[in-house]
Amino acid sequence: MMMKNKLLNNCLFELLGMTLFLIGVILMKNNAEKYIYGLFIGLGLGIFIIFARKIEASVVWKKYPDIKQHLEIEINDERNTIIRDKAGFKTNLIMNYLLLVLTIMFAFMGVSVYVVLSMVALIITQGVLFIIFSNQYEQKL
Amino acid sequence: MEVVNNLKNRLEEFRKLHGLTQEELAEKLKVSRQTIGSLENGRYNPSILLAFKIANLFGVSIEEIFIYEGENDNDDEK
Repeated sequence: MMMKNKLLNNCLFELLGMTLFLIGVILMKNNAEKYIYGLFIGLGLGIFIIFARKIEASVVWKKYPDIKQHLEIEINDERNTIIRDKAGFKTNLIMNYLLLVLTIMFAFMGVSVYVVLSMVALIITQGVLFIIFSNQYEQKL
Repeated sequence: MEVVNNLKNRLEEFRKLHGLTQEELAEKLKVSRQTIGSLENGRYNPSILLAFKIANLFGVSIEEIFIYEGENDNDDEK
């Protein structure tokens, strides 16, 4: 029952994605503003692809339940979880430095102030998110 | 200076004693085969939950499978 509901949900989102995409195409044909039809097409395609994959996965899992079980074990495996966490942490650390260096470079290269400010906002958001999640886990664990 | 915890285990011995392959043991414990391999090689130390699961599966206490041999600094080994 729950599985059927999930499939129905995914199909509805798939329809939504298609509808948004079609609206985008119609707007494009009617010479609407580029950013409006671009938004519709992008959003529509994004939703369509994400939920197409979900539907595909649920169909495959129904046919081959052993694959689903194997996949679930691989995802929930504690060693794999630690590997993911450690790899993610190191990647995040390197990306922080790269983002910082890129922001400074852009500032000195005279790139638009809005671009530089957006990047600074990203760095600040990262710091704020780190504090929020740290506090959350501090209370949870 | 990194502190290394020395935790030895007799997982391979118990597994073979029960006539299980790594795949079969992994399936029973709901972990990947690689996790069993890493545990047996001593590259990976299990969580307390997994240690309990392993002990329960073989019907022994955790201490019989996992042997804690104290800790030492990595730098001292060089």
